[in-house]
Amino acid sequence: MSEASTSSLVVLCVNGNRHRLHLDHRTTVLDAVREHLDLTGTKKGCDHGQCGACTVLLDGRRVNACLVLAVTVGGKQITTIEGLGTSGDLHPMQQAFVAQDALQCGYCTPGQICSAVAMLHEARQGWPSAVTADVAGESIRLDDAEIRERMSGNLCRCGAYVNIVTAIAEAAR
Amino acid sequence: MEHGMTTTTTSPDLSAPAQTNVVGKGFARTEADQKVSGALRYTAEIPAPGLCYGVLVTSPIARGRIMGVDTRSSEAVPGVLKVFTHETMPRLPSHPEQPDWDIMYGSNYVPMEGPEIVYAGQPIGYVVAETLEAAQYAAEIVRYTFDTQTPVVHLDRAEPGAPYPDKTQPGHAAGLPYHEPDEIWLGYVAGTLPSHSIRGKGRAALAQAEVRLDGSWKLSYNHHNPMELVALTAVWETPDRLLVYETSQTPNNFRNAYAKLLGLPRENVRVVSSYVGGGFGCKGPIWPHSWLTVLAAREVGRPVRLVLSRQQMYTSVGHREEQRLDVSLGTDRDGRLVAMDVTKTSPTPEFEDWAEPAWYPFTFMYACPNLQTRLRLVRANIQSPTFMRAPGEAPGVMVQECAINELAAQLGVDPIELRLRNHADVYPIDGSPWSSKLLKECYARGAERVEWHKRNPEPRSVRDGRMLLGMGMASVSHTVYRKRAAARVTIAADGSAHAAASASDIGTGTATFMRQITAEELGLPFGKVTALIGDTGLPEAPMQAGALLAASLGSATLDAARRLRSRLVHMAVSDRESPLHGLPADRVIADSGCLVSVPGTAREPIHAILRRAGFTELSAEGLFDPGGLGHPGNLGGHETWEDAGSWRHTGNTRLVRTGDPKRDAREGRRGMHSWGSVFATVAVDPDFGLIRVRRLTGVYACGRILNPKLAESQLIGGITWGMSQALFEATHMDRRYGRFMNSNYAEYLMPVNADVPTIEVEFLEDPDPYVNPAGVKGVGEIGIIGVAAAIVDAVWNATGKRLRELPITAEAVL
Repeated sequence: MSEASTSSLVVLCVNGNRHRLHLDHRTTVLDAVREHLDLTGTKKGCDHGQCGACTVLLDGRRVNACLVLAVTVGGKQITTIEGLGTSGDLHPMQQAFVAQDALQCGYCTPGQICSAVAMLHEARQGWPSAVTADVAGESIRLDDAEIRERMSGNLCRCGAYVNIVTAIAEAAR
Repeated sequence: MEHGMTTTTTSPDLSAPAQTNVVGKGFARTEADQKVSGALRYTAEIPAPGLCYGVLVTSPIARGRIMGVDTRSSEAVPGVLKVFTHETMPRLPSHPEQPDWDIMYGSNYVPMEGPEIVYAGQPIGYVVAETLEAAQYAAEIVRYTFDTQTPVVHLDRAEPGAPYPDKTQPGHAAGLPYHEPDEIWLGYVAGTLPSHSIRGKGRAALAQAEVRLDGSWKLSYNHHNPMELVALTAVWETPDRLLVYETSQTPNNFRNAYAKLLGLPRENVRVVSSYVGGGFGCKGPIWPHSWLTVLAAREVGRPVRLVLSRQQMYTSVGHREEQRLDVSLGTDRDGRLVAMDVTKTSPTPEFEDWAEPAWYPFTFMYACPNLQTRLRLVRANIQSPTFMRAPGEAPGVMVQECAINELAAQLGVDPIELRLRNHADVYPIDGSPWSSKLLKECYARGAERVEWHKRNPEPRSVRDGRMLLGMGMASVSHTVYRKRAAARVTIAADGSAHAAASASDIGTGTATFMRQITAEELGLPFGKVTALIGDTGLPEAPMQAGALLAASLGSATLDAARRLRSRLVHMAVSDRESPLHGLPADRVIADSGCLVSVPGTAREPIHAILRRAGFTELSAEGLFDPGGLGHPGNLGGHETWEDAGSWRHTGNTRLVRTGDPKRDAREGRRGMHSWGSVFATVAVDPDFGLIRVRRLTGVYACGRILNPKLAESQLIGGITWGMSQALFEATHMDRRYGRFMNSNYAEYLMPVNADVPTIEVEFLEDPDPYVNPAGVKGVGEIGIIGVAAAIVDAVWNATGKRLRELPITAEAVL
């Protein structure tokens, strides 16, 4: 096989910056940002879409970056944890995670935070979840049960869930 | 060291009053901002010039031989640099031998040196390529032909009459289907925790018991599953200088292992492992993939990064073994224990003996004059089991507490009352006093919080709508382990300070507690102190394991900071230009960046003292050495100590014990444990068998709590693990092929956010002057302990079902 048939020029828009990259067609968004753009805040926990550590925002919606091939997202806006806030200028969700100690080893944390930011948006849009009593209702009351349910795609092996719920509730206020 | 740095060796003065404004406060973890912003670099994220990618090829069969390998199509993949097989992988100059506490091989088996296959997932090939994609693809298309044999993997092979192929073991000659090893892991089992022990008359005393309880508990294989995949990057800086970025709970042990296996001086190997994305034991010992990567990197002449796949994590870095515990308890008619007998049976690999000491809690938890413990191992085609969170206690306390709860029901005695009747007033192993023990207080406070008196002991008696409700409880204890640790504390002329040691952080707060202790001892604000960790170039700290790091490294940091403070005080009081000149050293304390006289008003900023002496910075090294480095008898929590006043600093920077050794031996021994009680409330759906945990409450006495915020997080996490042990976690073995069937995050069940109930953690004040100078007992392991037993009992209380197989499934409840 020739090189041309297995790789392409891709323009990735990440955190507002455009990057022109020659990428192997098998390269996922996860490997593209980690290995090619040195944006290592997005984590690889399973590479199978099972843990949520690689959660990024694609045009504002949360996706598992390990399940998206980079060649398919040209022109779309990707936001990684680095695009939400930096250590000197944290996003309110990042601040809440620090304040509530909603992390231990920190490896799932960027995915949790990206997921939580998108989740709040989903709830504001009125999207119901499995625990929403009235799925046809206009608005969602984001209580602890709703937060737990909506954040259950992000595994945390240290078991920081209790404080993650508190942090998200704080950031949602 | 830079100009102006010195290491003090003067004898510090301990009489200066300790300040209490930094230690014990809930500061945010030091690296939190970097973690939440994605800026913190974990192992596989540290750049290396010329980096290429390694991928392991692992065996699909559990037992047999490689008959042929065809690497041609793999080697033809563009970007592939090398495809190693068992014929082409360079050999280790030296093989793992007996492990010890300074090397810690996860397994003594060296794969890829021959065609034999002894467990599924064993490394049989190693591909190195320019890109990750090329390496992964090439690894998939290496073609092997095998001579496949039927693996042996079943625990039930230990049943009487089963054939036992290990002809080297005495059990074979005796016609037994198992063997009973005398020693495992350089005494991890036999040294401190004898596997075959008899106290009093042993099991024979069961005959005198008026009440008997006999049961068999079966526990599943479990895997650690830290979120961060195990990884390393091997960089040969020169042909005989190695730098490894590694996901390691024990940087020094990895360095020592590389040096030994590669025949290099230790100073030629540097291991960097600062922040680790969870470990739970599997990143403690060194495993074969690490040295294979180092060998491959030397062969290709470039840095190689290996990241195990999630599936490979199930066969590459150990597991908690499947096990059966056969237990007999005998009591008098009032429920006082007369005799206990426990036998653990578990599978171990073909090539070595390993078992976590699940019988061990029976030796310390309750007063009982007669006790017998036994370990039986069955040879199987599995990788070596290894340490996993609270090794020994997690399964052992769970089973013992389940048995005690069943006994309480049988006797019609309240479970707490039964425990009080069997309370061990002294350390049961040798009769010595406890260093501190607040178990009764933990029972009382926990019972108060959950309103235990309202529990109806009759099963199926409490409902919430359709749901059956139940409550259960358990005792909790963990041995205080300690290990030699060194630390360096440096203060700079600008008034800042930093603490340094080689320890890693797996999410526990290593840097944070080092900063707190340093700030407190030097009288500095927390924000003025930084910490440097996770590099074997720094003073040697022990493993982050066994809840021993804060106790050991905390004490070393305390020692270093006190030495530094003492040096500064001596500099000031002996200098005519200092306002403190001529004061007795014990009348000077450190406060707010100054040395201050007590009582009085004389004070001088520390930076002024340093500048006048011509120092840009000043360092002191501290050491905590509980003695007998690495000797198993000294790792356990039942050592010989005098009283608190016997911790003395000597001129050669050591904390040593003083006092009369004979008197120590006679009077000074202390049992050292942390304590707790845990309570569970569950709701069970009677039609579907679904168990929902509603509330978990733990009350703990763990010595001095350095940082309540971080300690509470660890306890909440540990309790979540305990719930997981009870209701979720099991790796299922396909007995025909000897392969784990659910080696992924979708099918290996762990709690998600929606599974987690209200979890409450409370610490009791537990000043313990004996454990170590920092007064720390550690909180990393204790959270998981006992929780599963409390849940099992709550399920019984709700449903009337006595369940003895973990995890509990819905079908078992129905």
